[in-house]
Amino acid sequence: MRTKLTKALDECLAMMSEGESIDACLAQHENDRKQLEPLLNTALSVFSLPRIVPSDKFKETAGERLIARLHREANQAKSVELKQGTSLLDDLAITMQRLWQAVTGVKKVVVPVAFCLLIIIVASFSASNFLSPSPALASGCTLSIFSGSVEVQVPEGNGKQGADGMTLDIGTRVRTASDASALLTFFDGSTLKLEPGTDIEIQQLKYDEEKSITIVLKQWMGRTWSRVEKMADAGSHYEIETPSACAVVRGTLFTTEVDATGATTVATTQGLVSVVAQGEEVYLPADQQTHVESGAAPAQSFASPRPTSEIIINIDAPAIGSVIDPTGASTGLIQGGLSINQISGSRSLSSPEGKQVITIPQPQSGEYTIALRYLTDGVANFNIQGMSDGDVAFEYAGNYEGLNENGWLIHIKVHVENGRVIDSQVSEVGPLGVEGPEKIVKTESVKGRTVSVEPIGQNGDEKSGQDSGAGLSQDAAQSQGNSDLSQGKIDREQGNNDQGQVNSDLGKGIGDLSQGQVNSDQSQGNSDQIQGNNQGKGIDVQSQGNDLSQGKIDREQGNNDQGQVNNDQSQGKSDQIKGNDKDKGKDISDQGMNKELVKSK
Amino acid sequence: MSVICNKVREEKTAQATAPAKAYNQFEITALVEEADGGNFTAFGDLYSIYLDQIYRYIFYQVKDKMTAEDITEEVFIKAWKAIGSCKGKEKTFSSWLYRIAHNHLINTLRSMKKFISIEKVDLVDFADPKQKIETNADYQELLGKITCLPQNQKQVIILKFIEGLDNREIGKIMGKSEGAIRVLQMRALATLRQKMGET
Repeated sequence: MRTKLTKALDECLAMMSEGESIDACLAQHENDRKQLEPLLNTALSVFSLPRIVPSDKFKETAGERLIARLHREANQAKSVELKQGTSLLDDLAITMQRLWQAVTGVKKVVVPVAFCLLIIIVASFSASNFLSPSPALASGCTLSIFSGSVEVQVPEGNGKQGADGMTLDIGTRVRTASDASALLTFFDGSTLKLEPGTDIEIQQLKYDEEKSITIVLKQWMGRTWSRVEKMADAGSHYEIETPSACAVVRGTLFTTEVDATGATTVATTQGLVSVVAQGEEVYLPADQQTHVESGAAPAQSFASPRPTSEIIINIDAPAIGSVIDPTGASTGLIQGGLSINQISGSRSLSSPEGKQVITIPQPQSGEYTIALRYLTDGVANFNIQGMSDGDVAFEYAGNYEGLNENGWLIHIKVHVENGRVIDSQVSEVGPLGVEGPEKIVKTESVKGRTVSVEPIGQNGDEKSGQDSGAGLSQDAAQSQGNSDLSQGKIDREQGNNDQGQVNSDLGKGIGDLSQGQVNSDQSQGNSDQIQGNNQGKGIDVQSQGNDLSQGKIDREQGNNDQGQVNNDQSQGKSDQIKGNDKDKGKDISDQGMNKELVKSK
Repeated sequence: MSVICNKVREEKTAQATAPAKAYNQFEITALVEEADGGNFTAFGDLYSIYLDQIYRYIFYQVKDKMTAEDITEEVFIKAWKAIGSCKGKEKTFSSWLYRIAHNHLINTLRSMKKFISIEKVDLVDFADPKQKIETNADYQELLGKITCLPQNQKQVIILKFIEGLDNREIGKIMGKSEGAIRVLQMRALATLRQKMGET
């Protein structure tokens, strides 16, 4: 009976594959209709699943990696063959055996002696990386200091105060003070953010003739946030050692935390991480973590706890955006659609149609800056939400008009208590200058590599970023300086002490946004100040509900204009935009942008 | 849930999934033999031919784009290293490759401590705008249910209904008879039906 049913089902499935309807199939198996029909409906649902294909970028890069590796292994085999007269396959076997010996050799040293936690990020693993290291062509690591005091200790030297933009070499140890945070940017564009109280050492930085990248770090203490570039070469190799066990990681975004006992917690935000300790290995996909006590095996992976609060920013095309946290670290997309991710646990995702979502978990008190950049002229909708325990703590929405390559800066002060967002206030809205507020480092050009650069809209997830110059516009290259954290103060090349002309003109501006709870200081609405950087171009401020709603920006040209403020009589309030820009430069407000921001909760 | 029959689906996705150049069985056999002789270009062609299928097979089991990419890369590297063992079986290269993919996937998932049993359904990341139409709640739900099936049932669902392989090919990949595959597919559909009814 059951056999008959399985055959009937199989026949029906075959018919459906040929395009027959379920009814047509069942008509031939009336006796089994009752049992078959639900199964066929289920089958039809599965038939409808899309046939996923890998992204074009993956196809291209993975193919290149594969072919490069095959060539390299063959060259390796040839050289062994010349020496030993063995066959190609035997050579490969020998190569792999040596590789294994090299790996196990490392473990023998590391594990028993220091109980080291070795975090290895390997885009692909290659024997040649161990067996035939080539001289380094390019290697480098740049220190960026977000805040506080950072100590840098070179090999055989004493510790000294680190400086922003300092190039660090192998053997250098970097320690952040309890109030400091810093960023290391490696030559391939990968970044490592050091949270306060972190101690790391650079053990290897190498880029060889075969385009293999080797980056090895040791984390003695503290918390780091790694954003690792997907390495284009099969032999590329990225490691972090920390004191307690041995781990292997595959992924791009993850946190490593080492406490005073050497115990380590590794949490993956994106990609795949594998942690190995005492010969046991645990894989961590996104949103999973594990804990490793000194001398113990890693605990079984478990779901990372959801943050008690987070800031979620949605930005629609034609704009892209980034968020700068109170420490100066940034996450999001910048000029040219390049991606950065320096804020621990954060994500920036983009859909093919150009919608971007930035998530900042566990925000801290202080000012967050959202930089909107326009890829083309147009109006971009955006929404900024603060969430606490699943509830909306605050929400702002807007639809700002902008022109290509210009944008806006929105500053929001967030107050957090006990991990929960308590309050918020928009402190400033103004045009984005030529130099963005993000603190980023232009990485050295790595020969032949095309990592990092990926324009928005090509891929659905985190874009690789901060790279080696390829595809970057001049503006982008300039913005990747080492030390200028603009914090919304925009230097310009032209313009002369212009004061913004402000008209609180209700009804102008684009988009009507939901009204809601407004911070008390704003809800009173009198004399709100918007430090705009507006230079001689009139800005009509729309005083909706007394908050910081701005209307369209007039295109008045000219220098030395005095700020003229027209209170919106109908509202009886006088929003004020202070032009605070004293220098020269192309004025972004001269681009016909309209802006309006409303707090809806 | 809107559904379409297999034939329509195949037509709809044929362009997206078809290799740049169509290869017949003889050509594939020749490519395997050349690759076995150390010809990288031939192996590169095999890679191009089977990349989509292997990626898809893995993706539907791990539901994560980056994980699927990582595992797919390693599958082809393993295939290159082991292609000598395919000698004499060139005509079944596809099945052989699926078996490598499956074994590597199982090993990886095992070491992941069965992370995919987590009920959370992540949003599928569609890199290709052509696929965006598929991102709906029903799809996510169905994908989540498939992921939660027992391994052999999940395998037969993917190979049969997504990859469109016949019972004979599936049997070769899974090391089972065609009759066993028929039974397995019925169990898989029944389990899936039951899971879908739970929500």
